[in-house]
Amino acid sequence: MLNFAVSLQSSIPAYEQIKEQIKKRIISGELKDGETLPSMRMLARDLKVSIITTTRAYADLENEGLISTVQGRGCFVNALPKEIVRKQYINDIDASLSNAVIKGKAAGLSLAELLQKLEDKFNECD
Amino acid sequence: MNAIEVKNLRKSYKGLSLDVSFTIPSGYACGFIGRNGAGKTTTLKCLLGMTISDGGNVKILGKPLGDISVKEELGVLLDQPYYQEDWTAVDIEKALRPYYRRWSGDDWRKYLELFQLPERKKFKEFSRGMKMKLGMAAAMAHDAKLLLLDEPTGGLDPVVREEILDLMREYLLDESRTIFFSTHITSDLEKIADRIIFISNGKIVLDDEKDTLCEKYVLVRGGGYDQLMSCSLIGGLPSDVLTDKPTLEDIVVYFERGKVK
Repeated sequence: MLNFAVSLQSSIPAYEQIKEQIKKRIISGELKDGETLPSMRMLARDLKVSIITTTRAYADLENEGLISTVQGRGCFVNALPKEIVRKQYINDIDASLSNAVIKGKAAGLSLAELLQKLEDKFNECD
Repeated sequence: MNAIEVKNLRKSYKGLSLDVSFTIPSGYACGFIGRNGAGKTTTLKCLLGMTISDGGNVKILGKPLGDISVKEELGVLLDQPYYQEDWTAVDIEKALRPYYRRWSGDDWRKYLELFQLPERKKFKEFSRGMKMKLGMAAAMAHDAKLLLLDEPTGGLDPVVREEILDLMREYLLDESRTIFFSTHITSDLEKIADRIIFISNGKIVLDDEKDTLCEKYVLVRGGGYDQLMSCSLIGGLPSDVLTDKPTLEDIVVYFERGKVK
């Protein structure tokens, strides 16, 4: 169901990788409202990470309002979490853009040149 | 609930002066690391009452050491399991079954099949890897609540090692179960351990969640530095030193060399 892997060599902690992968699937609609997530223990077994790692990832996702845990019944994707994730992504975009503007100004780029860069990046990614 | 509670467990033995206190919460895998002779096996043997300690307090699954009802809840593999050389898996089941109220013949056969262990082969013809897998199968077939394993993956090839780890993961799907295992193979710890207890010269020097441990310290090298540093201390370092996230192996080595700040 959750068809992803976690790298133990990465500088990004395993729980962060798990969070991002699940978030990505929620925003893409691959994980639907109310869908059951694998238990923390099953996910730990499947991803070959420790149970504390998956517990931490789920706890963070729960704190962010994306999933809920029902004692004895498992973990579920919350209703309308897409909006929450989208809002978070927009916050991230704002932060990245501010950073880009600061560096662009420092490098003496004009608004047109910055916009051009944005357009190039946009076309580079699918 | 705690699977293991140890308070001031003491033992003087062959030049080792053991004095340890630690607690292992149930439901997780806890790795026990330290150099040869640091006291890992002695600690495990004291927990099992196989070595008489000089003092201290031990509780296993909430019960004091020596409580006979605890034995049924334990799965123990010290080095490797010992059974009659001429026994087959079928004979071993016959011998073990009467001792355990919750023994499941179905589980036993399921695990034999899963680990590709032959039912009719004699135990003496088993490889070390097969013996370890058979020992794990026995522990799981009687639904042990606590596995105490002394170097379960030692001396095994990477493929069998991964199989043993898979078994441990399977075992921990049930949250009432706990694994306490000693090892030298830090990559196994990276893959499965939730907590790490690090013993050096008979004393516990680190006892923490694995993820926390690796986040607490930074490996600092270059510019005259070659040491582990607590994350809170790295603020004033010169810009040309290299800071890395330490592996568990780094943590063990730098602690043993006393290069920690």
